[in-house]
Amino acid sequence: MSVAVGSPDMINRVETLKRDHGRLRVLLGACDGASPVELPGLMRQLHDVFIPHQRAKEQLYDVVVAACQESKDATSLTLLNIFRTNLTVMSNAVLGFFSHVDSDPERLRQRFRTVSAALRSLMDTEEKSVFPLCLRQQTRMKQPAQALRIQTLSSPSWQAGGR
Amino acid sequence: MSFVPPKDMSVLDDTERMSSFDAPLLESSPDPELQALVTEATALTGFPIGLVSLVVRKIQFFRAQVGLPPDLSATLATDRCTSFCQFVVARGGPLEIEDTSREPGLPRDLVERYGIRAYVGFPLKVRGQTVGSFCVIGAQPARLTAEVLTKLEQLAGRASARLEALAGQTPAPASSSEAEEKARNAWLAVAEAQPLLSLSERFADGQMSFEEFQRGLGALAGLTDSSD
Repeated sequence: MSVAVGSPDMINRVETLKRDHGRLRVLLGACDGASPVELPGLMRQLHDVFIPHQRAKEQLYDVVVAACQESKDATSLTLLNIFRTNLTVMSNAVLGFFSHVDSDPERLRQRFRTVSAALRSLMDTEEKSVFPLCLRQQTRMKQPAQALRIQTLSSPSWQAGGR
Repeated sequence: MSFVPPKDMSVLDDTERMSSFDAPLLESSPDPELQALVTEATALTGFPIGLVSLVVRKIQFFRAQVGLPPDLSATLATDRCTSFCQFVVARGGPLEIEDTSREPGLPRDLVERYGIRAYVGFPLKVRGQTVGSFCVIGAQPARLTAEVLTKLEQLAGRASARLEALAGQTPAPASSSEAEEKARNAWLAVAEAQPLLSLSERFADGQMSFEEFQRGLGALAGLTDSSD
């Protein structure tokens, strides 16, 4: 697990998620300004982008939470668990909303504003707190991992050709 | 000691009552008219906190507020089950608590978490349904005079009229079909989860301490407990 966190893979994951956020924000903007006829179709597009994005985010949390547990970083672990819970609660709610679309266009438009605001808030918080926390955790994990590798390469048993 | 919780709280989950809640009612952007009414209520009573509290499915949502601590002014909500306002809705009538320390029948969570000692709430009505409570909250035991209570009730009436106008911005359901109920409940789940995000956003912005953040989360524990 520490290998995954300590690798450049973490930076790539976070960058990919940030790019997803960009796509989601564009779609949210389109939904916000959509006519009642356009909105359901745009919501389907949003749904299709949101599902794999949410799964990728859950995987990120799994990796970083495991790393925090290994490093016994209780504060980061508490924060990550809080943010992960928020993600779960809100994702389940948003997916439910996508599954039960209201038949009245004006009511749907009004209700969508709540969903749009919620998704924007979730993404803003992740960019301000969660992603930096993941990257900080990566840096912390990387240092002992490198130290361990150097020690191994220069260890007497290695130099003696032993193993 | 005078408070006895109503035996039947089922009205809280009544489908018709739930159908009163829609987007304009549960919006978190401040409504100046409701805001002015809660401010007037605190000036009238001398109580530090004034609320337009809407008692929804899992939470009580503060549509207008004055005097809340930072965590609650971020979430604008607490769990419904810990609220006093749920009893105003269940009774369909006012509730006056002079000293919470002498009322063992009340939920203790908000008393202990925020030091609530006195509470006076009047029902808020929309489309004939009691949707919440117009209330004032004090940190010291207190008893309001009959004259002040009458004026407070009048303010509650004005708040109800404003909520009615807000509710009128959403098309009423043509029929109470199962599909419409599912759509409303699905949207309500998003609306009720939003306090968690507001709290996190405020914390991420550095506008509250970790302790305040955790206290706010504690007041919304019901939202996360039922997430599984």
